[in-house]
Amino acid sequence: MGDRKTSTAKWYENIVYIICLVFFSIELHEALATKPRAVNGMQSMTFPKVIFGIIIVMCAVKLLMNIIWMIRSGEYGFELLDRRILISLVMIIVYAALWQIIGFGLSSVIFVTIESKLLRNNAPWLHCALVGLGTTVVLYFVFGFLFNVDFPEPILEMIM
Amino acid sequence: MEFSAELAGIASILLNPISLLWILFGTFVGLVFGALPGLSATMGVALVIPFTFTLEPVIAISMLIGVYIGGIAGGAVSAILINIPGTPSSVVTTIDGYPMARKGQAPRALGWAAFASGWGSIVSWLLLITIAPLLAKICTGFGSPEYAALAFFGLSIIAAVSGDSISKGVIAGLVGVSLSFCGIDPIWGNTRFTFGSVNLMGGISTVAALIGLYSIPSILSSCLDKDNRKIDSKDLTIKNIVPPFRDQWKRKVNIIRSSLIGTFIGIIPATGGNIAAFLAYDQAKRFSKEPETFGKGNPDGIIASEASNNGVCGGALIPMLTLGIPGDSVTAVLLGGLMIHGISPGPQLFSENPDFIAGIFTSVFVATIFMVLIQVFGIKIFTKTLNVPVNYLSGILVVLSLVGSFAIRQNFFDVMLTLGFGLIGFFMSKGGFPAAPVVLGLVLGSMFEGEFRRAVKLGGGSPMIFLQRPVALIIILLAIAIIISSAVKSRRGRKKEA
Repeated sequence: MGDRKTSTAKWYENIVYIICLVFFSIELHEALATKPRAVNGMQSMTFPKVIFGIIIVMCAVKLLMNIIWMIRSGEYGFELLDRRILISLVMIIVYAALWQIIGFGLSSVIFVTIESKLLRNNAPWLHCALVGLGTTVVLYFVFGFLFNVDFPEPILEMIM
Repeated sequence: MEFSAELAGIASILLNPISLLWILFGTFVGLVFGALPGLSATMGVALVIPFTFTLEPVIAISMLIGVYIGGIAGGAVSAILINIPGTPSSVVTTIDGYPMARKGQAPRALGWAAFASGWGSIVSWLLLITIAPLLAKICTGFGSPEYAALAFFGLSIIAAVSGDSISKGVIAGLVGVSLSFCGIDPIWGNTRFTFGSVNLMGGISTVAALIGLYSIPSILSSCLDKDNRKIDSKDLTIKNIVPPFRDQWKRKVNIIRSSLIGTFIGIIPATGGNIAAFLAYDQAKRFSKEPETFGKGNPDGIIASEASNNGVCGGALIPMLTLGIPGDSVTAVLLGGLMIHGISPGPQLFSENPDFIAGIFTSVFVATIFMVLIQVFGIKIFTKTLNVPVNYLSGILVVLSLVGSFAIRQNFFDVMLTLGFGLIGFFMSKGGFPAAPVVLGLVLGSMFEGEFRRAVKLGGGSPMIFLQRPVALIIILLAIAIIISSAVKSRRGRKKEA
C-alpha cells in the first residue's frame, strides 16, 4: 500500500505524526503528573492515559515505518507547495489576527480583495474590491444586524 | 369525541392558510440556517421562538418544527456544493456529495439529498404517529451501560469512514477522542487539559473543529483549481434534479434502513443526527454491491446520511412529546418553546390535548413536503454558488468560515481554534488522513468516556456490568463484529490490490 504513496504525501504524513507525538506526549505528561482522583471506579486520568499511550505508540510505529520506507526506496523528494497556497495560508492567519487590530469590517474587505487578485492575476482590482465590500456588507447585515453578532471593531470603538 | 378533536387538529393546520404560511416560513428559515456554516438548527429554533409569542400554540410549535426539519436538511446544501457541512449532522453528506458536485452532478446530488431527507422525515413521521409511546418507553429505559455501548458502536464506524487506510482513520479517530477529554471531567467535575485557559473549560468547540477541518483545507486545495464546471440553467430542469422514481425505488432498502436508524437514534436522548448519519453510512456501504464507489460520489452515501439525519427529527420528537425528554439539542430548545406556550409534554398531553398532538403530527408532514419543495425549486439558486469564479469564492468562504466559528460564542478563541484545526486538517488531507473520524471521535469521545466510567462505577468498579445488561451486550457484540469485518475487508482489499 505504501509503495503507491508519493514521497511528498509521506512527508505530510510524517508531519502529522510528529505533531501528534509532540502534542500527545505533553498531554500524557500532564495526565501522569495529575494527582489521581477516584474512590470508587476509574480515575479521572485513566482513560486519557490509555488513549494518549495508544496514539503515541501508533504514531511512533507509523513514523518509523515511513522512514524505513523512504530509506529503502531512496525516495526523499518533497514537492513544495504552490506559491499561491502558501501566500493564501499566511494571509488567512494575518487576516484573522487583523480582526483584533483594525477590526472585522476593514480586514475582511482588504482580505477578500487581495485574495481574489492573488488567485487570478487578470481579475480587475475594482471587481475584487467590490466583491470584498459586498461580502463584508452582506455578512455584517446577516450576522451583525439579524443575529446580533458583535464583531470586533477596535478602530470604530476608539472613534465612537 | 377524541377522533373529532384529532380531525379538528389536522384541519387547523391543513385548512388554515395562515398555519401553512408560518410553517413555510419556518422551513425556509431552517434551510437557510442549516445551509450557512456556523448557524445550526438549534440556533434557528432559539432565534425564531420570539416570533411565535403572539401565535396560537399549535401554529407556533408547527413553525418551530418547520425550522427544525429545514435546518437539518439544509446542512446538505453547503456540504454538497462547497464541501463545508452546514451542520454537524451533514458531515457524512460531504463524503459522496462533494465528489458528485465536482463531477458536474450537483443538481442531482442536491435532488437526492432533498428526497432522502424527505423520505427520512416521512418514515420517522409514520413511526411518530404509530408507535411513539412504546418506542419511547424502551429507549428511555437506557442507562449508562447502554449509552456507553452505543457510543462504542458509533466509534466502531471509524473504519467505514476511514477511506483507503484504516490505520490513519484509527489515529484520526483517537485524536478526536483525545480532544474530547479537554474541559471538565464528566464524573469528578475537575478541569483537564485546559492549560489554564478559561476558553477550554467548556471543551473544544465542535463547530470550530468542523469548520477548520473541512473548510480551510478545502479552500486551500481549491486555490489552484480552475473555475467549477458551469452549470447551465438549461440543465436545471426538474427532470435533472428530481431523482427518477425508478431509481428511488431501487434504493428503497437504503432509504428505509437509514430512516429507521435515524429514527431509533433520535429517540435515544442526548444523541443526534451526526451519530445517525455515520451509522447509516456504514450500513449502506456494508450492504452495497459496490462499496468501493463510496466516497467517490455514490448517491447511496448521500441517501444514507440525509435520510438518517432527517429521520432523527421525528425520532427526537417521540420522547419529547411523550415523556418531556428531549432527544437532541434542537428538541431541548423546542421543549423550551412548548413550555413558553404553556404546554407540558407527557402522556397526559396525548389524552388531554388530542387536537394539539394531531396538529403537531400534521405539521411534521407538511414541513417535510415544504422542505422538499423549497429545496427542489431552490436548487437553481443554490447551484449559482458554483458559478462564482474560484478566486472570488475562496476569499468569501474564508470570511464565512471564520465568521461561522466566531458567531456561535462570539469568542475570538474559536477563530484561532478554527485556524489551528484548519492547518492540521490541511496537513492531514495532504497526508491522506480522513477528517470524518476526528469529528466522530470528538462528538462521541466524551459521551463514551463519561458513560463508560459511570457504568463501571455502577458495577462497583467492575466492567462486568456490560455482561449483565443484554441490550448493552448486544450493541457491544455488534460493534466488535463491525470492527472485525472492516479489518477483514480492508485486508482482503489490500491483498487484491497487491
